[in-house]
Amino acid sequence: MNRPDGDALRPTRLGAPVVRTWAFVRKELAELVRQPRMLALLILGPFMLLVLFGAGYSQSDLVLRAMFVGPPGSIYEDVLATYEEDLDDFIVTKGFVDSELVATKALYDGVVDVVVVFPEDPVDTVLSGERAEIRVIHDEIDPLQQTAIWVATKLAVQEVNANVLSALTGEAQDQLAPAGDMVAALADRAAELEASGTTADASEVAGRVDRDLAELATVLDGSAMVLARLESVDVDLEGLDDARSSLRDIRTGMPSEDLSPEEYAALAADLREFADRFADVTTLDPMVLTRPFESTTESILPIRVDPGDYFAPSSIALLLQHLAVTFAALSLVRDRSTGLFELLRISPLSPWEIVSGKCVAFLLMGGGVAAVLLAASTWVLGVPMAGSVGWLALAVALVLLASLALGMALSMLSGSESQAVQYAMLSLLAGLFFSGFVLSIDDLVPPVRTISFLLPVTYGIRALQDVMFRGIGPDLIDLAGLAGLSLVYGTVAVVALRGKLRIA
Amino acid sequence: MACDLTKEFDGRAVVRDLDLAIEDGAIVGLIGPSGCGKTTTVRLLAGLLSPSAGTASVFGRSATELSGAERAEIGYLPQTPALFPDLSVRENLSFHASMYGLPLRRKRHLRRLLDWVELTDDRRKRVRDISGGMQRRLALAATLVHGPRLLFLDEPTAGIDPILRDKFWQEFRTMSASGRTLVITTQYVGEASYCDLVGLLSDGELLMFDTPDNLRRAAFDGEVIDVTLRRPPSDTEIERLAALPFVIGSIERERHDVLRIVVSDADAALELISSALEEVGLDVVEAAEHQVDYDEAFVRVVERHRGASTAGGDGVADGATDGAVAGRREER
Repeated sequence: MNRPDGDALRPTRLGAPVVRTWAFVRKELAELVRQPRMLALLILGPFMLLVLFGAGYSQSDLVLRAMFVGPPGSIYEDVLATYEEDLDDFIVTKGFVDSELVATKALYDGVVDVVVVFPEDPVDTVLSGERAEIRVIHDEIDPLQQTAIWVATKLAVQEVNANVLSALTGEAQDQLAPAGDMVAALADRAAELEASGTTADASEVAGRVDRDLAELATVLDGSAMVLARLESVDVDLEGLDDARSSLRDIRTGMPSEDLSPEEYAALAADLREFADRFADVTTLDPMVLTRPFESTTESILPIRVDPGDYFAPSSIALLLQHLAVTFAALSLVRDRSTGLFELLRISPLSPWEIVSGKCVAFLLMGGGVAAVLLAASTWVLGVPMAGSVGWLALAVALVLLASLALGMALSMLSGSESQAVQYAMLSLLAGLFFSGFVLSIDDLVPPVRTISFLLPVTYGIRALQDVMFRGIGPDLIDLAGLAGLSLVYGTVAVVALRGKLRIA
Repeated sequence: MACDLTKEFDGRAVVRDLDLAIEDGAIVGLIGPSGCGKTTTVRLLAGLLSPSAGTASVFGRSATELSGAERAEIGYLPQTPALFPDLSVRENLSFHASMYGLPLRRKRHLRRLLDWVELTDDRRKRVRDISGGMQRRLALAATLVHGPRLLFLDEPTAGIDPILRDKFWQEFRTMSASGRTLVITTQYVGEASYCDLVGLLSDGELLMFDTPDNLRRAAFDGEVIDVTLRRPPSDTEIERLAALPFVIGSIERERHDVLRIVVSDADAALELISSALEEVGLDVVEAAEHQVDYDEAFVRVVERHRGASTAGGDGVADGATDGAVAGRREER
């Protein structure tokens, strides 16, 4: 009979820790490789999610379909028709109606996203010193979408405001234009005054000047009242006010009768000066008057990042964290359920050897999954990759390591496989809410933000974005954060495992 | 090795005041009914549990305070084998070898172990695809893979066919001969015959710890002879037989004309039995020593212990002599 221990092997003296660690590396890898469906799910599942997200996500969703309500034949309809192109960054016009009821029905029917109701008579409101209110009605329940609507409508209304203002200013200038003619006529009157020389002619001319000045004062005061309600024309109103003030001075100082030739000459000079100054005010372009600034944006990034691309590093970081946490948490719990811990208690294995063996195995497997995902994202989905592969590998390795350590620490809290899965799901949800994946972590209040910094994915997202989009190495803080989490969670896992392996 | 060893779970004693001393190279069998504390005893001795009271020591040290090197000298086969279903038979064995730091060039060593447990042809099969008995054999091979000096085997032969079981015990004997110490629990009481010492446990107590022969003897408090008579004896005749000087225990009716008599020495009693029975008026057709099997001995000792526990005193003599015992025997 063959003897089982005929020439029994003895443990290697120096290499025993390596061999013992290697036992877990091989075991974990073999167990993973033996589950091709799970492997396919691990690699294809996340990739298909990325593909679907990239294909399905459209920035046009940020543009709102809007129906406008206003009085028929009002200025709004013309403004919207004229400036539709300027508004289409925010709003797609789905029609102009005069009934709020009709528009609201369209909102209920889902035909439009918002209804914009213009005031009935904005000029009266404006002239009475009030701002005319434009109401925006929606039926969105998503707070994020509500914010998007608020921003989009704010911008659109500003644009409408500017366009209406521009039109009104143009109208005001139209009203001012005759006044310009009148001012030119005043210059002629001044010449007439200088040329008349006789008292009778001068008095007649002075009478006409007085009527012209009164008429001009009416026009200027009316225009000034309108323009004074329109906030963005402050500078030009100053000129207009000067003109009105000068006009008042001229009229106040003008003798009622029997002007001397010197007084005629002085009046003529005042009129000429007034005409020169007033002509400057009326020559401004309404577009410049109402929108004195325009903006252009330029990115210093080496590549252009589309909305679909933007989420690729975040998604990969989150998936890697989830995979690693799940691997690690389930692995130790499963080992415990198979009774391996009984053997480990009386074997020479140390908790460090067990944890490091498992980490190496899952790092290799997770690294493979990450490589496939990143390669497919870059070459198949066209996600930009501006940085170096070395930095990327370092960031991925640290994300995996910190996540594995977290998973092992969580497994020490788990009494069963189902509990381990629950913990892994909790860490996934925490990653979604607190990592900056959806909401910026700057929006979180400081105590809650602490959670963000306890999650590997928080640092992972920033590190991957730096490498892939900015083309630079990860921020040292992010690398240090990941290394720190690996150390802290790893130590917790080892200490807890030592406790579990302690004799009861 | 164990002194006043006690283990309680939730205030209930599972092992009570257990004393054991095991010499190097011995095979010690622990037998007893389910739930009697065999596995807990083994786990206490292996250092997997810390005692609630008393001590368990291995290699001269407390079993729970062994160094890594000392632990590496122990082989432990748990009742539920720690195997990985998605790994192959060979990979499982190799994992256990690595766990103890054996060098990676170990193909021949593993092959020899697989040959021994007759799993060589199945070495590539995944553990989930082999039978429970094969898994048990693999677990045993894994326990031996690092050549331990002290082995704790919790039911190593459960689910193994009798031929392979016999082969295992032969190997255990060989290991014992080479100086290895084995502590083995078994549900097959007959396997006690392979052991040097047998510990019989019941309700957490060690009822006896002795050689297998003494276990059998203890079952009847002496040796046993079966006497076939020409006619069935009367109760009065049996009472007179009980007064004979070599009769030290019970006299039971094995059949209507066969008596089972507990004597101090079977050989001496067989020489005297014919004349002694003739004096009582009974003719002997045949008289021979009854070889008590381990199952029978086990059942008698445990029942006697339980009877005594229920009666609150030592009921051995009462149980052995009353008619109820004879009645139960006849029903079998």
